[in-house]
Amino acid sequence: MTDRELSARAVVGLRVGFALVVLGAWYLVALTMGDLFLAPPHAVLASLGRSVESGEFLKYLGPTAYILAIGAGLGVVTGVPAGLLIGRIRWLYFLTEAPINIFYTTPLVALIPFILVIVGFNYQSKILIVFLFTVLPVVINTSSGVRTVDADLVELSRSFCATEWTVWRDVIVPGSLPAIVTGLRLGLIHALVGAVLADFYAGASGFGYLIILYSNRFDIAGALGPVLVLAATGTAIAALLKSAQRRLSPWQGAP
Amino acid sequence: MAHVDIKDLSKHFGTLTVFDGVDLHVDDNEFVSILGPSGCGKTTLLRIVAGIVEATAGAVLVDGETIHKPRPDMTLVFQNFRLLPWRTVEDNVAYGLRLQGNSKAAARELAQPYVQLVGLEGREKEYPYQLSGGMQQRVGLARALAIQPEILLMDEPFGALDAQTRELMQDELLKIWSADRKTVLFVTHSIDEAIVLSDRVVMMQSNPGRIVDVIRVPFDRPRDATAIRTDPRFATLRAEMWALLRQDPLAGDSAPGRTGD
Ligand SMILES: Nc1ncnc2c1ncn2[C@@H]1O[C@H](COP(=O)(O)OP(=O)(O)O)[C@@H](O)[C@H]1O
Ligand SMILES: [Mg+2]
Repeated sequence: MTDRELSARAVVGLRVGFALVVLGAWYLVALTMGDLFLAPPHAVLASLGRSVESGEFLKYLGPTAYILAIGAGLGVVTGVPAGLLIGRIRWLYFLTEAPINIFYTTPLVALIPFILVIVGFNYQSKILIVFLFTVLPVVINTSSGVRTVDADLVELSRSFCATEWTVWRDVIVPGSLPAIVTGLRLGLIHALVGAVLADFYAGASGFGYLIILYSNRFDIAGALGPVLVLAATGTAIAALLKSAQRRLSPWQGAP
Repeated sequence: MAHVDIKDLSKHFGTLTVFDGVDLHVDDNEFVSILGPSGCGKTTLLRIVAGIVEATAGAVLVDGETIHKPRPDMTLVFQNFRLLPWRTVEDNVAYGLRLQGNSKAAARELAQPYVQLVGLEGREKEYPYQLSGGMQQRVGLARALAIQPEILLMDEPFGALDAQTRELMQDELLKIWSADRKTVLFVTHSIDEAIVLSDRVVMMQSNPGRIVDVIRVPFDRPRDATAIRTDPRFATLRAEMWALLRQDPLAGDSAPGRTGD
């Protein structure tokens, strides 16, 4: 209740205030411990600027953006329909429940070396890694969204002689939309993690590799630049989906 | 014009016998109420008639045809509203019309008189979460009426309304029904409501649910609800029904009364 009573201005103030505190703490640690431990924000930004200017930034961003676009794209495009079907078709749910849970609770990082050995140190394996990181949260959230759709509303639709297709359109998809968007948010953020890990392990290209290059040179400011960009990307994805959700579901009232 | 035959109908959920051996004939354009304590299976009975639940034994026939699935000319007003949260008031009212194949615009236009009928003009663009329980109930009622069914099944449709709105809606339903007679099977908790509205009242008891009596209501049509409530025969009928309900050991906690629940 108190959350709702906070005005929009108070929320912005709170967030800006918190950001300033974090920034201040960052400076304090960086300046007292020395820049081998933590580079101050302005040094990170300056290094990032140099990296962009020299073309290095784009050169390393490209491959990561490529595996992200394909891996996460495939994860979403297959994950949402798979989740819808698993959520609606009982035998499919019971068939897939255990494998999905086992897969989901296994840290995917642990599988990366195997994927690289089997598929090879190439783009295909990186795409596969990103895909796996994306698809599981999408499937799990979508199917649980479908399963928690109000059965009374399905029955209502049926009582007006709706066909299965109409029930999907009118009840199941809109009813599970919030869960689908949550799945997309988690999936895409996991995709970022997967992409960086793929770069770490498979190496030789990409954003993750850039971080490792700088780290090996003990250039903390340089290594933190891509990290900042990744954090900003994740935040932007989350914010974008949140606003999309609000526009797609006006029936939920004020968030 | 349509009549309903319920033949030796039973429903069990596992070991629970909801009701057993229910027989009932509802004539063309007849208004029949079912009155009984909570848990005697009124909702379950209506859902079987509506074709959304299977009976354990027996059959329901509409115009001689056995019910296996919902019919387009029969509709059920649910006790718990069941509005689509993602559709506005007008689109909820228009929902049945949409499923009949009308375009969005045509369905809205056909639905508009029913939005007015239940007193919700001006709220067309609102979502269910913005309405009170009583208004949501009225949307559910308008949605059912909008498809102009031959048979209207109503499960405590005024249960969520306050006493005053409830009586207004009863008057309204009497008017609608007199102007455009339909076959109605109306479930209620309230003795008064059953008397005011119906041609016959089916009295049920629970454990297991069964019909114990069917009482004919003698008032002429068209009816004036206020006149009926002050008629001496009303008090007699009321006492008779009350006595029947009181024989049910479970009736005490649901205490059907003037405003019901
Ligand atoms: N789907 C179901 N599964 C199991 N029991 C049910 C189900 N639906 C109703 N019941 C039981 O059947 C009995 C009658 O319920 P209901 O038809 O809702 O009664 P009423 O509408 O008269 O209050 C209750 O004991 C209820 O718990
Ligand atoms: Mg009921």
